[in-house]
Amino acid sequence: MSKLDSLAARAVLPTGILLAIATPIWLWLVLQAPLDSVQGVVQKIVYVHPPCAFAAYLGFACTAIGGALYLWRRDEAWDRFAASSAEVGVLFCALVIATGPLWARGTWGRWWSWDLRLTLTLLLFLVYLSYLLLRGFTEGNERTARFAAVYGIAGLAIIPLNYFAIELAGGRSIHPENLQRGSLGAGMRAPFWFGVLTALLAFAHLLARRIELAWLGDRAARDAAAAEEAASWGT
Amino acid sequence: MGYLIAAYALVMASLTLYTLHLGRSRRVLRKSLSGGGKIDAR
Repeated sequence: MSKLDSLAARAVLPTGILLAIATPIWLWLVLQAPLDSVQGVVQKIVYVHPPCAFAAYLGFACTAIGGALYLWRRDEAWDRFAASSAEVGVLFCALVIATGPLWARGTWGRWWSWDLRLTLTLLLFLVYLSYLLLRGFTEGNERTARFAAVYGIAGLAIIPLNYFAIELAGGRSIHPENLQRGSLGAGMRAPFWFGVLTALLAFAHLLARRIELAWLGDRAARDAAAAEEAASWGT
Repeated sequence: MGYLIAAYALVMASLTLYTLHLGRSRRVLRKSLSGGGKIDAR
């Protein structure tokens, strides 16, 4: 077991405990948060939608970092880290895409708009979903890992485009601007930042679990291949 | 109110189900590696 796999296995329990403590506090803070004078109660989706986006960004950044380190060191542990990060990142990105329309329907009166930010988020989701499909449909060999690493790094270019999409759209975007210092009302900062912390803890916990599972899967595959080879020598 | 509850329920349910899925897969693999079952490497 490499140091990275060992670290992930050891991180499962502490991150799980921290998450179990943070989640009810976050939900309590959300319940206590004041209502927005314009949007009303539906605005409270702000405490879950952007935090999920931050976790998704982190997942895809980790995919690129893991891919780059795999290309440099050729250590399978970094490939497992990259693939696991992509899976958890795609889950959070799917939650961003699912919670966004619920908020949009409550405020804009429609589920979706082909706005630059929304379209780029969908593209980001599809790019990393393709990454997972690519890995799922091909044999888990070194060539797949190398190609996936390059693909994972290239996909990262969408993140800054997505983050700065509102500025790039030059005022034509229907999506609200990025949160800046002072843009949240009184009493809204604590639930928001605690939501970000909880989402990042959930990301860390799921990533640790996924890396541990990937390591177990690789070990089982190696054992099965060795058993098959031994059986072929025996016949 | 319905959209708000739907958003939070969706996030909590998805993350819980994924956690349970990872836990179950881990148990199956651990059992297989300890010789308690057969595993298809492919």
